[in-house]
Amino acid sequence: MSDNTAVGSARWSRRPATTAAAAEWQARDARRWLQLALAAIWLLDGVLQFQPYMFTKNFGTQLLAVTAQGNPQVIAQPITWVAGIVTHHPVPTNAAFAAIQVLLGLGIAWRPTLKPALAASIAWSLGVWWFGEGLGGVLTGTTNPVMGAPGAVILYALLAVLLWPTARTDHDVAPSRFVAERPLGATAARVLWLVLWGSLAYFAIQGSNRSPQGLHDMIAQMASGEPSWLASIETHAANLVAHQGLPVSIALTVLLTVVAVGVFLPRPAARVAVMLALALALVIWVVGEALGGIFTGQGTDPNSGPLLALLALAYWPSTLQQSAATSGEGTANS
Amino acid sequence: MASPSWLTDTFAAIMLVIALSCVARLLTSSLRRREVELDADAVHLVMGISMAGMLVPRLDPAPNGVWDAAFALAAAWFAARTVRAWRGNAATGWRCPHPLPHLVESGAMLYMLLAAQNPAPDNTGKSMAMPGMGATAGTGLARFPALALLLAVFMVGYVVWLGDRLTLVSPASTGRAARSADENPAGSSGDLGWITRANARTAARGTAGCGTQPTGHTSASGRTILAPRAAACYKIAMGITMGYMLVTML
Repeated sequence: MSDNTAVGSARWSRRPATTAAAAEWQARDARRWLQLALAAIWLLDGVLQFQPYMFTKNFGTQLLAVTAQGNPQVIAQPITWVAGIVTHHPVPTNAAFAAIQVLLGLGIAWRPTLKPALAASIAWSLGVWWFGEGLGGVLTGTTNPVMGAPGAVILYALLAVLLWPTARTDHDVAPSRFVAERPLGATAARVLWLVLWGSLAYFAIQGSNRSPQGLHDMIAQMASGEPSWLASIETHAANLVAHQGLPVSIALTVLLTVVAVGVFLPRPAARVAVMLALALALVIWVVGEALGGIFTGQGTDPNSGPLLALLALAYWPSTLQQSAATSGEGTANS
Repeated sequence: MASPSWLTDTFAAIMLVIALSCVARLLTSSLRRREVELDADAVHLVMGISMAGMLVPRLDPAPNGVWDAAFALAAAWFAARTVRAWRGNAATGWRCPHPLPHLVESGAMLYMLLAAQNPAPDNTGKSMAMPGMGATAGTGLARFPALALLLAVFMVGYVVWLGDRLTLVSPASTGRAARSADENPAGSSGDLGWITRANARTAARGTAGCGTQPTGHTSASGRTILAPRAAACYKIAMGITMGYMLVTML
């Protein structure tokens, strides 16, 4: 430390100058970058929640209350109750929602509050998944992964768990194969991946999704209120799948199943599966979700596409310590 | 559909406070022999006043042409600084070491000003003249809404980046640790390499940071940096406000 710096530090600090805080500031690794991406999405959600439409009664009646439809009474009744509160008090409730999401984003970004913010985001996500998204429609029999199943907000909670800060880094003796395995271990992480993508495969082949025009109708309606370039994409995509609902659903189911089991395969195949997941996430986000409906002024979040992509990146098989991992795979059978 | 007036008033008040804090920083820096990023603080001073005027039109002290010219100049300045940084020329003296975010901010201001002056036609095909952001908020009359979204996403990312580096500029941090954090890309997979290289060079003269410098760090002139954490916090607030303004234009 130079004399000038030491003098400067002593001059400015109200407590004894210490290098501890700055020394602990570690350069960002892959997990930290993914955490920051998650923080950015939360922050974007908060900013979107400040849109004028959200401060009207329509937010409660047209966005929240409708999620109760098709759900069991024990699930639907609390949704209706919360939607009623929001409808009657749209300004304070929405201001609170927006502030919470902004604080979650900032809390994850600022390192001292990373863990509390992630924990709070899990609780908040679970609450919104129930009262705001009706559990993503998974109990209604009408949900579709192309439209955002199983509900974008539950993916925030999953990401918070998988990106939970632990002592393990890329340079530990037992190197991580992928970022998501650090908190829970590789087996548990892979099982979570299997459950998520496997459920998407299941939803893709359910009920009305198999009908000839089911997927076409879902995609076509997304064009409403969008800029012309995006509406054109939606319209063309809808025309592509017109009267092809069943074969497209079967194909989608197959692809989602490949993604679901891909992480259990050797590294090259696992990478292909992750790349396929990224591609599907992009298609879902653009074609099925119209970028979350952000351009309509009524989008509360970018929907599940970016989150699925973030999840996929968390499962990207690492190239770091590849030789060490290979030598350890015979004994570390996880 | 316009934003609630209390919301725009709150954001406008925050912007005016930030503008005042920039004035205070600029005055204090010379009086107390502390260094600031003169170009960044100056443009944020102008930006704070302009944003307050866009949110609440009655607070706007200058005609649109003045703001257009100011931010066009700022964008040109930071564009030149960005090119110099890309070529490895370290920022010296009073110049901001991280010009790219300020370039984008200036561009975003120009975009919002021009959009407010020339809104896209509504569904009836008529152009609607709506002075001030308070009236245009939520109207969805922005031209090129995709650009507004991209700028909003950038601002959100910039805010998150600043928040991540906030501990680096804590009062207890030292210049050496900050410099090493900027210069050492090991384990930092995915850092924007050219920014890291630029950081390393500017850190060598003691001005590493997210457009703010760690307290206790000295610049090439030998003077310590003024309140880097406060500067980072006001940039975070300004970034969130700008993100809000861009999103309401969608």
